[in-house]
Amino acid sequence: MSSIPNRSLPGGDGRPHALVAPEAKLTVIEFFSAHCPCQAAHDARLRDLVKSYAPRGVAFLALDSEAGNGIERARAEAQRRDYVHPILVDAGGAMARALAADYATYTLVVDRDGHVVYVGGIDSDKNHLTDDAVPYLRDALDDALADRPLRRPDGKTLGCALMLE
Amino acid sequence: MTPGRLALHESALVGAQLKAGAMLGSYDADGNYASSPSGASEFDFEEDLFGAVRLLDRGQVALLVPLVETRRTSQGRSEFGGGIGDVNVSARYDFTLAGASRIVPGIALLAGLTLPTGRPPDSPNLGPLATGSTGIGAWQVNLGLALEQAFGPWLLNASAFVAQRTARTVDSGATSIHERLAAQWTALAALAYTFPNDVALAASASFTFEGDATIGGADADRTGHRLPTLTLSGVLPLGDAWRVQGAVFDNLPISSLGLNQPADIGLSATVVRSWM
Repeated sequence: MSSIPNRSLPGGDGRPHALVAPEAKLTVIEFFSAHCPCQAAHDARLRDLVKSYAPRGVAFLALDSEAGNGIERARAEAQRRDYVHPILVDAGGAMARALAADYATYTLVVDRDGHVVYVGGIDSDKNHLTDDAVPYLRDALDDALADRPLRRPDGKTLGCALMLE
Repeated sequence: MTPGRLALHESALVGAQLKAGAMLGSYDADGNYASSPSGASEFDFEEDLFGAVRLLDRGQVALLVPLVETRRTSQGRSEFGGGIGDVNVSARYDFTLAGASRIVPGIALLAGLTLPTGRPPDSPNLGPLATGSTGIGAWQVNLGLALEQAFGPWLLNASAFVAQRTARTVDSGATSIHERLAAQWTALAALAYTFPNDVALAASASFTFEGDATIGGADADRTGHRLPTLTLSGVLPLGDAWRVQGAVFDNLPISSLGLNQPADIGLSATVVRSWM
């Protein structure tokens, strides 16, 4: 996959969001699951990543592609998890299929032209966080922001199978 | 069925399992259950070493090496014996994953081969109470189909297996008998619940059925087997790499459910180390 279609999806915050954030140097798109333990385990790390990288021009979007998704669930889950970044509603799981997202926490990093820079997991932890986890996404953001080749362009995704319609 | 099934995203694992069971009674050839007679007892133990590796994105193979021991008491005599059991090699391929679709369940094909590495019941020098017997003495080929579906934290599994054993010749002094065990069918249903902290509990029920054996080319009447088993089990993850599993199982002592089988109650404990 070299680039992604720049669609606009509705967010739980009541606003539409472009998958390639126009004002950002990089956009992180993370496939979200409301029930996956791996997702829940990484909530705090996601919040930390947003806090660290949003000021450096990185936009974060979570996509809920699973069956039963909707604006209300997106709003409630973002609030429950204390997300600053929005959860978008991927109706029918169309974007998950288009972007070959099979598992929760599958993450893409795209540049401002929609070119895919990184595809993979958030880090090397699954459901239980460790201090020595390999920070795939953080490394990818650091490398991409510094305009250098990525150390790991495809860290393994460890979340649950996404339940699509 | 191996305790060494790789979970989603795991690429390899090794583990050890300890099993202990006590025979409470047995089902006779008419399916009647009777408690063990006074003064007779049997305790069965098994220590399994196993490993599994993912060879394909959806395919895995496993190896299980059992050590089997029996302590048997009858008519004032007690005996303990055992040794290596029948080694099993198995494979699993998941065509679809549980929870990946609301409609289509996880569908997996399972296959296995059990090698006659144990000592069959007709081996010499097993001891007067035959506690040295650790295997069936035949090659066994297994084939199974497993359906699984996730409903949030709930997981429902329905599986069916068939095992076919090769024919074998049993020497008994001057005579020899050609025997072939019938195909063995097993149906299994399980329900599991995973808590937010990743601890999981499961209940499963299985029923194994086997027709009459063939001896000397003729059907050996009343030699079939049936065995119901109820199992309660749990998994406690110790981080992403380690987990311990425990189970309690019981062959329900209800007449007509079993046939030509001992009925045990027992427990198992398993420790697994996995790699992503």
